[in-house]
Amino acid sequence: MAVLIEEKQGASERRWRKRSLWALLLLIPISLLSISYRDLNELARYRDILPVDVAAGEIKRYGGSDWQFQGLRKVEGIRPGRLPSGSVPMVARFVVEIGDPDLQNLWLMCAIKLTDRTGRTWYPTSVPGMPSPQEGIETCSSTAFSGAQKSERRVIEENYLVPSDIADELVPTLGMHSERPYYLRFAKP
Amino acid sequence: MRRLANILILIVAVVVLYGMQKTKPRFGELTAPIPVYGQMHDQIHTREFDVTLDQVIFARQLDFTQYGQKKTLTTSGLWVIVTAQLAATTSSTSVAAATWLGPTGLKYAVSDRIGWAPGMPPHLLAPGLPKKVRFIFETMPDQVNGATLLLSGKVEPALDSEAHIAIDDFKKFNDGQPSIVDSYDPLRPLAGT
Repeated sequence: MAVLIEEKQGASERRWRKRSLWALLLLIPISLLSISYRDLNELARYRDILPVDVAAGEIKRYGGSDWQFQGLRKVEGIRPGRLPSGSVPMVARFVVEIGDPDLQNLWLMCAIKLTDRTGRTWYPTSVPGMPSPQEGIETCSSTAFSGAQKSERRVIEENYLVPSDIADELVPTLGMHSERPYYLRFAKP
Repeated sequence: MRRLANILILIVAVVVLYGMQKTKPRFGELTAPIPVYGQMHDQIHTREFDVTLDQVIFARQLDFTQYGQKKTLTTSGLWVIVTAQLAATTSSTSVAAATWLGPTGLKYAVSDRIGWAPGMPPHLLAPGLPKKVRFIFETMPDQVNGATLLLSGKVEPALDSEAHIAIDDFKKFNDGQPSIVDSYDPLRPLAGT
């Protein structure tokens, strides 16, 4: 009798041992994911990964405010020789209506970049000899620290230096820590 | 028999675990920069930038005019002026860290004695717009033959590529000693900047 029970227990133990081993296939990936989920989530906030296309002239809410792309223009008339050969300065302009005024948190790591068809990107830069912008025109980060209030309208401009041969195919993208991995990709007006 | 097998498994496990413990890489090694080896005049591709090392010049002193003042920087060793061509690969970036690695493993960081001036690191790069730049070091005469230039975007590039360029082409005398010019102007514009 005792022998029989032991054999039965042995069989059931073996069965459960097998099940447990198979369960590891599922449990190990789940535990790895749950440990690293917060890291992966934070990592994704540093990169523009998932594009949201914005049609020309469309107003889009991003980082708590309403963004509209106004256009990308080349800057002429900089004294030749000051810029690298084959390069052209460009200015991207946006109009933003401030929604949530907590810009210092929502607009953290704001980056307006230009990107070409092959995915190369250009960050804003200081261009030697560039005429200073008109009164009241700011950059994305200076607006974030300007104390702008709800429903104020701001004009934002960023300067770039890009190769002249691909200047016409560039489109701007907008990414912020609070909204990434989603970023806005604007069509030209 | 079974007991013997168990003891054997135990011994093997101890040996394997001990071996793993002894050969465990340190954190610094696990996240070390990934070297990309190359020679002078070759284009070397790292993740964020391409670099071609054009020329290496050795000088006894640097003479230049800064903010309207003539300045002379002397050294008890040797000035090294490295000119290179840099270009970003896919995104705007900067090259901030350059190190002169001597044949005996001594490391010399880029000299900051000139202060800020156009053409001094960090070099800002954009895709499609290559730049000619200088890196200036102070080193010892015995750290020249067999030296390597290390170049990376950040100062401590963890798990990112770092160019290792062998300094194998410079003017030297028959005895292998580098030819040293008396004076060099580090602020003279480079063609193509």
